[in-house]
Amino acid sequence: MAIKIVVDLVRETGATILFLLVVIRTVARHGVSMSQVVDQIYVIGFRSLPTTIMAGSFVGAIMAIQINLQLRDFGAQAFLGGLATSVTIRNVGPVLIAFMLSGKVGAYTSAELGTMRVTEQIDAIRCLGTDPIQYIIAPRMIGVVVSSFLLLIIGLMVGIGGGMAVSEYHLGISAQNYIQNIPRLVSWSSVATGIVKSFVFGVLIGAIACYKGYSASEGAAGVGRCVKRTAVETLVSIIVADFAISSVSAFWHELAFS
Amino acid sequence: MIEFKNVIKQFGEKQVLRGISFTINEGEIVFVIGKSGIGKSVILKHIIGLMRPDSGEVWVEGQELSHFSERQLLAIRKRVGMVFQYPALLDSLTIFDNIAFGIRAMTPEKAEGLVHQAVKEKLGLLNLHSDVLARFPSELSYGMQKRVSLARTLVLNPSCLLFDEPTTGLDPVNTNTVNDLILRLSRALKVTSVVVSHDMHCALQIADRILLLDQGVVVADGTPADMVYSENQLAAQFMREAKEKIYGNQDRR
Amino acid sequence: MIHEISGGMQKRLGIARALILLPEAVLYDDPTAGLDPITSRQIVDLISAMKTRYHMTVLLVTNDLNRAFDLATRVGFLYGGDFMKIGSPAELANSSIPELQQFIRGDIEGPLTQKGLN
Repeated sequence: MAIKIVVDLVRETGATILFLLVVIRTVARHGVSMSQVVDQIYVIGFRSLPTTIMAGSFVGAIMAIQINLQLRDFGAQAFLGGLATSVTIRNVGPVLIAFMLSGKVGAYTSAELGTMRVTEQIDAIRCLGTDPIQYIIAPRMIGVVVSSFLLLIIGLMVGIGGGMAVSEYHLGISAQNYIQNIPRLVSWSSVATGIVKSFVFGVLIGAIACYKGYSASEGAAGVGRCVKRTAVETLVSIIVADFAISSVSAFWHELAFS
Repeated sequence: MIEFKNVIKQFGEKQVLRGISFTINEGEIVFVIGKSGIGKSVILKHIIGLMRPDSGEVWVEGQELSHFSERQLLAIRKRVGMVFQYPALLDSLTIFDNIAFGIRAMTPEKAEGLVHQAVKEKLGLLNLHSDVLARFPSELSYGMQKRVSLARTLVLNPSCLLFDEPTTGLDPVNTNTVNDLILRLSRALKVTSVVVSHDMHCALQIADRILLLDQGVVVADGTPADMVYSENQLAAQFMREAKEKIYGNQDRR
Repeated sequence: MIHEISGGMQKRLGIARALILLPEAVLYDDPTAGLDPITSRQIVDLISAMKTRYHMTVLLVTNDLNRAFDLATRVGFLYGGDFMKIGSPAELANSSIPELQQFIRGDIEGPLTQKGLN
């Protein structure tokens, strides 16, 4: 039983990676419609902006409150700005915002593609002489990756703002203090980590959502299944990727500073 | 025109086609019937290259398709059109763009004026008014969507049409509109038609030949008259159904 | 598992699931759509048998006129958001309402298609 789970997992992961490669190759060879990509970025990204801003600011605020609690015991509240920001953009921010996006953006895309699949639109497109990967999948995948990346960056920046606001109005550390502390404790490697994670999470959400939708099986039940699997697999892979990137980043950091 | 030689197709542990063989001649209207879920649609998908057999040969217009690439299948798809069970229209495009989709994709060099002409021509055939062209699929009734989907396939002037349950879910009037259309197209345009359907009455009325599928192979193959008087038990059962029409239609021929 | 059994069997399971609490009334939404004639007949026989055995009221929506007229005590013709006629199968078959006539005969031309409500 356990072996079956592992085998399935490996197969799914492999299939998703192959799918991603096929999409990349198709775009490299035959290009993609820019107007469609822009359309997708609008539909997927722009519409998720309000939720992202809200989520981001709350995440930043929560981290500030949490860190403040610990720092108070050490009388080290002066470090709040730097520490809270570092943790937010390095780790908690990308992961939580990506979780939110996997639902809003990922599930939406896989549901849309899954529905197209089960109502035979993808087959129809093939029969009419068009490559569904180029026409339907690629714009969406690029749209999801770009949107997720941009939304994550915006979310992180808003997160800093959220931490700053709660610090000023609630925790007793002025916003000015908060910001001034940031360059001291937030290294470029933290910023780089945040950016890399934003990109990687975007790719994960895009690849998994598109693959699951594209390979949905028959009927309305099939769409439901593919959305559920998208949500679950995206969450799990985000966590795993987070761990991997964090480890590499920490190792790098040590290497650079020792 | 179309020939299957010992085609085997398996999905996981389920063997859907078990060495199936049959021939379809040019200009014929052939109905493929059998119990639900038995693999009739799978046959259509093999003809147009949406699926490849695990073994065996699929011949369409003198070419053997089982190892064709998507690019090679393009040539086949210019001459063989498939009408799906669902309308399968693209929601984000207008009706006009939907109908013109194939012709633009396959003959991109064609002038827009000619494309317009081709689209308008097919509307008439299907009792559709030109004011649907600016609308979107979600604004049309199911019956109209089905007819648009038919127009989309016809606009390429294929020599062979595949229908996957064209009248399932339709009311009697729309059912006969579609059946009538299949008949007229086949006769007037000399289009070969392969129809997967459960509508036995329709099969009796318009089919030149009927193929009965069971256990992944063809168990009965003949004209409607042959099938009605067939010794095959299953065929007899199916045909009995068609004759039991209580409130029937006039003969369409 | 569900996907391992045939479509016809799944339909029968669906009916069993609806009937298991022995309701007084059962609503069927196009139970024979897309089924081959043999399975269709089985389903209709099942519906009829259950109705008789458990004295159920059955409301069935369908495009399958044959079976509807065969099975039903009363038939209602829905058009334009309202019932144009309700009566016994014989009454409907012999009705002189043009829309209903066109519908039953399945004529391509007629008031239903002219009004463009198709």
